[in-house]
Amino acid sequence: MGRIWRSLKMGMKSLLLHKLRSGLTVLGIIFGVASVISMLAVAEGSSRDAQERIAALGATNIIYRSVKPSDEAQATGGRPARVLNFGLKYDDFDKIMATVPTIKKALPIREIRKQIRYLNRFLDGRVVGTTAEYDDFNRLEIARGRFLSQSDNEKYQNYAVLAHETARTLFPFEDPVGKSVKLGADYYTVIGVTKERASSAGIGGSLAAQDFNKDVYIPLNTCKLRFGERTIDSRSGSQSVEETQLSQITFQVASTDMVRPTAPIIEAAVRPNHPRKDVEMTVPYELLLEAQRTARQFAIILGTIAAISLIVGGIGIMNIMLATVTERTREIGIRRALGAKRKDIIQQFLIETVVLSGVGGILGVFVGFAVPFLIVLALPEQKAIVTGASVAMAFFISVLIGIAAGIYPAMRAAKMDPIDALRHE
Amino acid sequence: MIVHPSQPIVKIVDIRKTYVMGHGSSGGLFSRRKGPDQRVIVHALKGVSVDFYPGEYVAIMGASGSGKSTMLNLLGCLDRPSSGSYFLGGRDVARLSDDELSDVRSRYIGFIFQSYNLVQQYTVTENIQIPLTYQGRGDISAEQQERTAKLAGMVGLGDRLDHRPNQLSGGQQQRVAIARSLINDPYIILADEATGNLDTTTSHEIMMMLGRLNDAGKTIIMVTHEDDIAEHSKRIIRMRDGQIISDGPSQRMLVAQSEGNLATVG
Ligand SMILES: Nc1ncnc2c1ncn2[C@@H]1O[C@H](COP(=O)(O)OP(=O)(O)O)[C@@H](O)[C@H]1O
Ligand SMILES: [Mg+2]
Repeated sequence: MGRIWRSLKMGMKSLLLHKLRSGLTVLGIIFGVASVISMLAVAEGSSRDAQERIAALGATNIIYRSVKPSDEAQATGGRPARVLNFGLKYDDFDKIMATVPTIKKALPIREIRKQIRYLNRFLDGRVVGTTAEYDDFNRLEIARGRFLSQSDNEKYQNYAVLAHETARTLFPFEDPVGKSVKLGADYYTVIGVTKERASSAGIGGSLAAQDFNKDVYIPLNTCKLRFGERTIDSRSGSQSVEETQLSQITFQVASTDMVRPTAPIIEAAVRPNHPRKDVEMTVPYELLLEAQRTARQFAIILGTIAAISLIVGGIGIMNIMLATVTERTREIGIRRALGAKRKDIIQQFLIETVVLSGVGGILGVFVGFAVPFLIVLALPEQKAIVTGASVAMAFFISVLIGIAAGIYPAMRAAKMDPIDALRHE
Repeated sequence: MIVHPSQPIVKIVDIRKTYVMGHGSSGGLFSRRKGPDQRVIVHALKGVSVDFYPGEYVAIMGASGSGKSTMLNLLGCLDRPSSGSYFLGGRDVARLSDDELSDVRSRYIGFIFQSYNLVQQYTVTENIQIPLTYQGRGDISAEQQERTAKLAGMVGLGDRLDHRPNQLSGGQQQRVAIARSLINDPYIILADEATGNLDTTTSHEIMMMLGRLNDAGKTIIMVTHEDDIAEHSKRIIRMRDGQIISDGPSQRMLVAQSEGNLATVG
C-alpha cells in the first residue's frame, strides 16, 4: 500500500512538472468520458421515454381503432352531405368476444369532439362514451367522486366524469361533483373528476400522443342514445357526415406472452368485415419490443461515436507520453543507474498515464453528469438518464485506454540502455 | 555477499569491452546497404585486470577516450564486459541478467556523476531516497527517513530538505548526489569526473567530503583527468588505449609512507 501510494505521489509530481501539458491531455479524456456518458444518457432517456409511453398503452393490450378510409375521404371532398360509414361495429365487438377465448377483458370506446359547457364557460374537448373499466385500462386515477359504473351504463344514466383539465377549465372555483355540464343538447351530472395523466404514445397510425386531460367520460349506452352514430364534420369547410359505431376497442389478454398468439386470431375475425382498411390494429407490446431494438441500436451508434472521442483522448495521452519519455531519457538513465529494473520504469510510466486517464475519467464523470442536465435544460422535450453502468463503463474504458496508450511509451523507456540514457542531451 | 578486509571487494580479470558501431551488411530488413561490411569495432578495454580492497580510495586517470568511463560503468554494473570476469564481494557479476544487475546496483553501488544527475521534479529528500524505491518493499520506513535527514545533514544540506535541484548551486547538487550514493550503504562509491563541472573551491570541498567518507571506511573509485583532484586519493591507476599503464600509490601516500619510514628509521 505504501509503495503504490508513494508511486502515485511521485507520478503526480512528474505530471505537475508540466501542468499545462498534463492538463490538456486530461482534457482530452474528460471530453471523451463525458461524451460517452452523456450520449448514452440521451440514448437511455429517449428509449425510456418511448418505452414508458408505449407501456402506458398497456403491454397486454391489443388496440383496434376506426380510421377514415383515405380513398373515400378524398372522394367526398367538395361534395356536401354524403354519409361516410366506416369503422368498428358493435357486431365486431360481440363476434370477437364470442370467438377469441384468450381475451380477458375488452373495452369499447366511442369518441366525439364536442364542446363541453358549464354556465358561460366552455371547452372544446373529447366526449368519450365508454364502460366502467375505462379507468382501469387507461390507468386513470380518481381525484374526486367516482368513475362510471356498470349500472350507470345499463341504466343509460346521464352521468359524466371530467378529466383534470376539463374540470379545471369549467370549474375553476367550485367542486364539480354534483353540478351539471352540457354536452350537445343535454345535461349530465358530474359524478367524478380524474387526476392529471401523462399522455401515452400515439396509436392508430397517428404519431401524436394521446392527451387524456380534456376528456369527459359518459356511459357508452348513454352516448349511443344521445349522440347516435352520425357526426357532422365541418372542419375542412365542406360538410361531411360520418357514421361510426365505435372509435376504439381495447382488448386485454392475461399476460404479454398471450399478446402474440392472440393478435392474429382477432385480426382474422375482424378483417373480413373491413376490406376497406377502415380499422387499424396497434399492438403496444410489439411497439415496445421494436422501441427496445431501436434503443439498443441508438445506444450502440452513439456509444461508438463517443468511444471514438475517447480513443482520440487516448492517442493524445500516447503522444504526450512518447514526448515525455524522450524528454526524460536522462531521468530514466539515472533511475536505472540507481537500481531501477525495466519493470520499475514501465510501472512508473504506466502509473503516470493511469493517473492522467484516471483523473480525466473522474472529472469526465462529473462533466458527464452535467452535460445531460444542460441538454435537458435546453431541450425540455428530451429526456436523459445517466445510468451507473454507463458511468462505470466510461471510467473503466478511460483507464484501459490510459494503460493501452501508456504501454508502448513505457516499453520504449524501459528498453533504453542505461548508459546511453545517462549520456542523453 | 560478505566483505572481508583481506579479500578484494572488487576483482576484475582480463576484462575486455568491444563496441560495434554502424550497421552490418546483414542489417535490418529494410536496409538498402548492399556493399561491404560497414561495421567499425572499437576496443574500449583490451584486457584489464585489477583488484580493489575494502577501504581503498582510487583515482583512475588517463586521456580522453582511454576507457576510464567504460571501466567505471562496468565496475558499476551498468554494463556487461564483452569478456573477462568480475567479482563483486566474491560474487561473479559479469554475466548477470539485466534485472540482477539492477538489483546489484541498488544494493551495493553508489554513483556520483559529473552532471549531478538529480531528478528535477524531486526535492532533496526525494532525490536522496531514489535508490530505496528500487529495493525491498519500495516504501520508505521511519528509520530510512531518519537516515535520509542524517545524510543530508552530513553533506551540509540539513536545512534544504525540501528544495528542488534548480534551487541549489552546483556544489550543493553534487552534495545531494553524494548523500544519495550513500543511502543504500554501498560497497563501493563510483565517481566519474565528479568535480568536472565545479569551480576549484567547490571541487576542493567535494573532495574533502569524499576524503572524510574514505576515512570512515568507504571504498571509493573515481575517474578524473586532473592531477590535483587525483592527489586526494591513495592509489592512482593510469590508463591508455583501454589498458592500464601504471598502478600505484598517490604522491600523498608516497610522502606519507616515506615520512612513516623516516619515523621508523628515526
Ligand atoms: N557506446 C559506445 N559505442 C561505441 N564506442 C564507445 C561507446 N562508449 C565508449 N566508446 C568508445 O570507447 C572508448 C573509451 O571511451 P570512454 O570509456 O568513454 O573514455 P574516457 O571516459 O576515458 O574518456 C572511446 O574510444 C569511445 O569512443
Ligand atoms: Mg569519460
